[in-house]
Amino acid sequence: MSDLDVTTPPVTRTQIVRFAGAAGDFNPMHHDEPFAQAAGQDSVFAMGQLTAAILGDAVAAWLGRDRLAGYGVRFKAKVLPGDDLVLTGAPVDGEPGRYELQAAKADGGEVVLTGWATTRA
Amino acid sequence: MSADAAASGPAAGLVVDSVSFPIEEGKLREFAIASGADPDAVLAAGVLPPTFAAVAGHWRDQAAMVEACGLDIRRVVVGGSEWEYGAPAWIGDRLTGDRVVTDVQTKPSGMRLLTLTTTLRREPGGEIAVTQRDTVIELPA
Repeated sequence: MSDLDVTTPPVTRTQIVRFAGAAGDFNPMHHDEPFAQAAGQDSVFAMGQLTAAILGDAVAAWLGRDRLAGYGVRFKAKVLPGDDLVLTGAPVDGEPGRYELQAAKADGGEVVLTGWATTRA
Repeated sequence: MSADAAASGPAAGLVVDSVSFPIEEGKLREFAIASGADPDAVLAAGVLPPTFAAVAGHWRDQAAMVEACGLDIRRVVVGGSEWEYGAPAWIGDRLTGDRVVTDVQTKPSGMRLLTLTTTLRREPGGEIAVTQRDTVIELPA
């Protein structure tokens, strides 16, 4: 199997709002621009769970949706509207069935999320 | 929140809240589209998206969770999440479980790390369908 290497379309405010509805996360930091700016942010930003879901779908499609045994992420940096993400994954040497994952900004390469996945034997 | 929780922080074993939600086709499609996935591929696969248990957020009060854990919401961030998959669950099933504090660590800096574990069982059947662990961080004051 080849490694995972996918570049997503830019994350948009509409996608963030769609995910707020889908996942039930109505923290105004993620959809209310004046609120986010009053809190010192440049703009609204994506929930970590949105980035986790985007990477999760890519990983499920890559490894096989019914083969996934576990998936985990650590949130490293904010994803802003307009960011394209490069999603990568590769097997971990010496650990069969375990994969290292990462999501990084296509522009500049900042890592926004690291993760892992395991598959059933 | 008890006075003890406010003074000393949360202890492992605390049951924060309970959740029970139905797996619905419309919600699944909405979640897939929001995640940039192909909803037809997700529905055809018959396997829940890896992070679908996050929709339990619809059915829980996150601010109340922070208060129940004795944390200062202004200093709380989520560090990460992980999922472990068990029995298959699908449209028509219900996922039910408690969210429990399973680990508490206090760093010398005053930073606190809580692990919240939600074990979701499939109804009918009662098998564990997915276990979600969230790391909640309270930054030092």
